Amino acid sequence: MARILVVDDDPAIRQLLADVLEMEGYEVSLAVDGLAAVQAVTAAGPDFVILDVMMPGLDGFQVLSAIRAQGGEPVPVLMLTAAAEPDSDARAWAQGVDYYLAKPFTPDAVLDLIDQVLTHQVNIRDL
Amino acid sequence: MTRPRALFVDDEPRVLDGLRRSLRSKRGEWDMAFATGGVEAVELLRTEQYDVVVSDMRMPGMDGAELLANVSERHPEVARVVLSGHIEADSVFKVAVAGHRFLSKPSDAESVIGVIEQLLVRTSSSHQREARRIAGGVRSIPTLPEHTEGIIALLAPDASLSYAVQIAMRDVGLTAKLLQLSNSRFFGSRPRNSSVESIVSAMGVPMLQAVVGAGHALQPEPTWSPGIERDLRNAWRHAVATAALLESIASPANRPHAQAAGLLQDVGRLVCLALEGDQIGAVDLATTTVAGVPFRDVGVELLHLWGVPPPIVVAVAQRDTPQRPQASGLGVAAAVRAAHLLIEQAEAGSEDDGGHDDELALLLAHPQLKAQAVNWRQAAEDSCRRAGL
Repeated sequence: MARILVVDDDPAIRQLLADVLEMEGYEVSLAVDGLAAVQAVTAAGPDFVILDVMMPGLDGFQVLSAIRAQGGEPVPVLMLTAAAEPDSDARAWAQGVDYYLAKPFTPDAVLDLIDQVLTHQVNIRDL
Repeated sequence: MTRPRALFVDDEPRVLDGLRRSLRSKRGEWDMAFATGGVEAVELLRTEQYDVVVSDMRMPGMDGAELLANVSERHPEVARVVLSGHIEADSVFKVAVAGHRFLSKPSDAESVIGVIEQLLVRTSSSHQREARRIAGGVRSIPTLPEHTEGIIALLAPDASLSYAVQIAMRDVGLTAKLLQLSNSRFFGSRPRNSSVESIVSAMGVPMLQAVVGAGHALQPEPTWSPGIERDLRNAWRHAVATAALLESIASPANRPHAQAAGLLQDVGRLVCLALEGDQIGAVDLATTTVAGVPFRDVGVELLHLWGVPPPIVVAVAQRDTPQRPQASGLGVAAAVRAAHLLIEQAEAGSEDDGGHDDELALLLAHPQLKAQAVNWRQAAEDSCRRAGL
């Protein structure tokens, strides 16, 4: 099953995402800040990264540039931003995220998106 | 629907016993038959209809390559799976064009079942049997006359990795073949390689040359009528231009799949038009069908059979379907559709919008594309120029 890295400094959101993803059978690992996230991507090579923007230390944008600078096949990144951060969506797209959701989001919205990206056999059956 | 039927072929009874045991859980769903050699398998295929044949490569008498070549000609609708141990460098040549899918020995039951189940999935509800019969017989995809020279140069002893990548990224058939083989460990690739560049790098030039040589050897000098050749050349250039434009339209992680889908968007047309003069049935350019089956259905079935990554198959299948991407991202299919429409418009010139102006305007207004501050119509014209349009 696909391995997903969840990066958020907010323990409540981390746990919420981990719970819904694990329930669907995904293998979830957690990073509590940007530095841990960059290290986890280098070491574990996850199949998908969920990345919060506002974090102390390295923020989401800095993590994204560090991940993208690693070379090799880029990992899909979903960026989560708070509505209180104007223009962060434009900035996220310009910096090369693959998917973007503004907070508040429902766990279902995240799950639907990840299912779409990672489980394509379903799509082929629907053709 | 009748029960799916699978035939397993191996000269070692021990291996067949192992398969029989590990596939026990499927006995209620599939009918399974086992043969200890090519000749016995040919006889079984002659008397009964099968959906899938899984064969070893090294067998005394009729070997796996010979058996599967026979199946591709006499029973093209049967999906062909190679299940083999180590493959010697000198037989890569035969193996690369023998099967639709490749499993290495030993494989766990889960992988064998997974591949067979994928091959039982239908991609086209209305033309499934015919689409599979036409697509199933294809072992390699022809190349345009002007690209043959590049392919031959690729076979030279001193061909470089960067030259190989450059040729592969503009060749529809080679890209499809590389994606097909990239799922298998035999050919040096790893499952996470999804761009042509990383597949070629992982494979290495000698392995790539063996694969290219096999495909080249199967293709006679094309003898297409001028009308067909013109049509193929236009479709080919359209594909190359779309793939080039997707370099900037698709997001970083979606780019390898999107560019591959852009290049492979008309693979069905290429395969069907190359059948002109074959006894497969009437090829109709006006309705884009062969024997009543849309070119696109044949292409999608081919990519599915070959195990090309599903996001690519879905994007090719949906190329002519209007897309309504969510704000959370274009994904692969909508990016491919947007690039296709832009290139189509650039080809037609400014006076003709092809009737998709509203849809294209919506796609270009997507935050993912707006954020890049690119003049997409200009970028499409540049891509066309670079593709030689």
